[in-house]
Amino acid sequence: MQRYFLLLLISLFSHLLYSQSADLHLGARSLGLANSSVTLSDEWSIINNVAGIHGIADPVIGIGSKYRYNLPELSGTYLAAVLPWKEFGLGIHIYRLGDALYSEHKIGLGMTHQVGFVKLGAKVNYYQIRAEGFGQQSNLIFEFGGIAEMLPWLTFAAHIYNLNQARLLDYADERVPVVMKSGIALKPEENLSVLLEVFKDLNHPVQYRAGIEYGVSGLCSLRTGMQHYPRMPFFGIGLRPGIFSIDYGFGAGWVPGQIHEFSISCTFIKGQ
Amino acid sequence: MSKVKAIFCAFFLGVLMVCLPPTPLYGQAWMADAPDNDIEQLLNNFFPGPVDEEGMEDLYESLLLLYQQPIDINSAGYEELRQLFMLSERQISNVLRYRRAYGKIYSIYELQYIDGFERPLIEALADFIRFDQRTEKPSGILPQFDHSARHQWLMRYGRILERRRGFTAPDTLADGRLSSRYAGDPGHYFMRHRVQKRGDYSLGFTLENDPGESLRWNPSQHWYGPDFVSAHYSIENRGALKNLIIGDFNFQSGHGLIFGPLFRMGKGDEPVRTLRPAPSGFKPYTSVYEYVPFRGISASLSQGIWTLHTFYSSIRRSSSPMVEEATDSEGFLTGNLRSSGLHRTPGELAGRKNLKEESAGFSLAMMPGSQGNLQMGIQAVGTKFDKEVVPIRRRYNQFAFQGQEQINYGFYLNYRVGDLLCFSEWAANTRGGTALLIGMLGNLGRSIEASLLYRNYSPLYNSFYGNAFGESAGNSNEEGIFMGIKYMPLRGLTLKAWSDYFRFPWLRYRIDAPSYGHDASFVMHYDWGERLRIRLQYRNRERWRNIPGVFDAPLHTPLPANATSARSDISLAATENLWLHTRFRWSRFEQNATYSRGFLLAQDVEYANKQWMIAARMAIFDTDDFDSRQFVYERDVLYFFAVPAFHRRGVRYYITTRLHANSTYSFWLKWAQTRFTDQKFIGSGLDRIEGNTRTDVRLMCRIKI
Repeated sequence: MQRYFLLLLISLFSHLLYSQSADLHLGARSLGLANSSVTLSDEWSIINNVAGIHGIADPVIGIGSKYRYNLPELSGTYLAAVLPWKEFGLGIHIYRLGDALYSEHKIGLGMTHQVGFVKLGAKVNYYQIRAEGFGQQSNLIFEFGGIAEMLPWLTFAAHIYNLNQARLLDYADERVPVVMKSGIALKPEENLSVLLEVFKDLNHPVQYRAGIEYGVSGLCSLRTGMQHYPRMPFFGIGLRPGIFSIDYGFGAGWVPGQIHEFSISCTFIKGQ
Repeated sequence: MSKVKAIFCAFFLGVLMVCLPPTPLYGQAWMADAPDNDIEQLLNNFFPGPVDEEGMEDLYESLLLLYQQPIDINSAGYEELRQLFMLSERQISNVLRYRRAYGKIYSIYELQYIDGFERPLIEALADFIRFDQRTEKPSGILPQFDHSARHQWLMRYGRILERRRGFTAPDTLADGRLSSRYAGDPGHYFMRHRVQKRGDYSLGFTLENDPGESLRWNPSQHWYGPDFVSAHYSIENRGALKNLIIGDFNFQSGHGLIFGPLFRMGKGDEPVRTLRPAPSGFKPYTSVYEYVPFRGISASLSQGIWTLHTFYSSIRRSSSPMVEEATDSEGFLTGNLRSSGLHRTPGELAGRKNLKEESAGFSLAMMPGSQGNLQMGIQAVGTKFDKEVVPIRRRYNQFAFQGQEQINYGFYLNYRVGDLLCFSEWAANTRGGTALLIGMLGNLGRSIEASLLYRNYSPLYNSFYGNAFGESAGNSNEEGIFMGIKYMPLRGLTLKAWSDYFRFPWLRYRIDAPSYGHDASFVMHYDWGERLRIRLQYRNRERWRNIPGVFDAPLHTPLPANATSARSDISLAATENLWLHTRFRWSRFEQNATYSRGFLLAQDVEYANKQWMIAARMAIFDTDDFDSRQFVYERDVLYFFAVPAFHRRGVRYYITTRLHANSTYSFWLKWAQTRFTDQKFIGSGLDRIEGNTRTDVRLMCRIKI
């Protein structure tokens, strides 16, 4: 009986989290853009679109935390590290969500390569869900992504999560959802990017997102975004003092609630 | 069939052959008379969505005034240049920057050198700016009638040809009383007279009588002939006295939380420039919307960086027809302070001008710095009624104004940095309500403009004269974030999108619970050299609404109601004077798993030369119900901006003609008819027409002296 009750609880949670797809986007930069980050190429791409870690010249380590809907039980912390190796890009990320009653852990390893003007990446994740009294379930999840910079002002990207349709429960056909997203990035001006993305989680209706990033003359970046369902505007700000990169993102929604995210990363420039 | 095909082919080929972008001529001499068509066209291009008539008239008047007395591009400051809504923030900055760097701008050709000034923009601006310095200092209090003054009379008569129930003989009810009927005749009379010299003086009056209202003379009942009488006299620029108005006027200051403009553009087609704060100040009231904001005396004084606006007003208001007997001699029950302005039936007449409202207020503004980048002001208004106002208690108006007096006060702050304008306003009233509005707008790049606005109006906040940005009229009980973007990637192509996300913390009319909502719009606009104009729009709105339930249940259940609409407007110039417009509207309304759809298609032919204009339309519409009604702009007589709505099934056709007989006399005539296919009667109550046809006729005459 307890099993079924906890199952219900998990499915309730997954509705709130939109089927654990919330942890498919990390990094306050991504949050500030309403998670329309499939085309972006930064240290947080190890989570957002693994192909994006290609081309990062120096090793980067970043940490961050996400606070959702005023519920500490739904807050998550993560760490990401990216480094270039020969002609590949390598990345690792660790993520934890929840508390003693219910928690999720994820460790991912990714690798990228460039073919022509297309960057391709693949990642394997070890994903574990634990619920008190219920035990734990872990599986491997594979993801695959690509970014194509077709023109200086136009980039196209696509990503698929859970290629292998990992099974969540042994006795029922409850699977981790397959998520696909694809988007474009436009750069109409030097310091302005417009991002558009279509996001489809198998268990939920299709979602459209748009984000705008505006660089204020080298000082900071201002970000804003909108997701169409559930309708919510997002805002974010980013600073780049020296080797650090500090970002803050904020999702302004009354339903289901507000989301705050803060992340810092540090670049290790070679020769220092 | 092949003959029809051949005609269509010939038509389209002909259209294609003449569709070559023409070369524009700079400094083309326009006719001395205002090109009404062009201003209407300009307005229609910039604000083609459904707008309220009274505001549109205000905007048209300002544009017309700008045309008559153009802005001096060399001396105009930021506030004055803002009146030219064709200019973005960056373009305005560039003009000021260019002037500082290179001095005077001598001719229209020189505008090309200003960054961001392309040919189409310069053409659009040409009639509204001037380069020479023709300034005569106005003096004296009395108006000087000379050739540079604009002096005109307008007279309009309108009528619905079919007989409405209100104009039939009354029935005798069971208790022997006669049933309610309209007091007057079915004609709609309007007259306006105005003498005006921009920057100097303005004198005018407006008379209006709605259909069903009778003419009478009864000064003790505040009835001076027609039902609505309004007048003003204003003088400007007498040294430190920038403005003095005696009569009817409106006041706008800050962003409209306390003193708002008549026309609130907000969420229409344009997501950026319409959010700009209107210039602060008093304007004579010349509209026919019968809720005159102020009637009394106003003055604006300016010295250095300080400007003081102050006024006193005493005006009588009508309350809406539902007036119940006072429970005691001190109390006074009234329905709604903003009544419809209609005084036709005994019920409406009983509520006519029975409430006296006195108000006095001020706004003190400061603009430090030589470039006018920082503007701030404080303002307040006190309002007092001669009776206690008690609204009829409903589910949603727990926090509505009740009492005999109220003071609103607040401040505003605008700051320009680069090409971005940051603005804010905060206001409060003596009942404990507060309102906050904060935002920014401007250029993010050469061809991209964006805007962002956050507002939070508490349920206890209300203002009698405010009209600030919001989802609903009346800036109360609302919190929301609005974001807009406008992108012009190529010449002639504009992409606009905006999104509004809001909630109502308390109940509202037809929403019996706190609720959320959102609204989004996407527009694509393409102009090809004055020959072709395409406009496509997609809009999606969601708000909650009560679903029909038990009539007198204490609370109904509100559910989300989603309305999606798409529209396309295509205008083709077959020849220089002949335009063809095709308009298409579609919408879908969905709530609680039931939905209704609506559709409208209209084809217009319009011919205009310097003297004549003839516009004709044929339209068909088919909507499931009132929720899926369709709005479409119609060419009408001068100053009559109607965007009528159509529902059910039927056909609509009209002919509008205009004749400029000579430089003094001009005439307009509109004949319009709607024929519903499935109805035996149209309308309800006293406006009910037996039959399925409704015909409107309007005749207007303008005399320019």
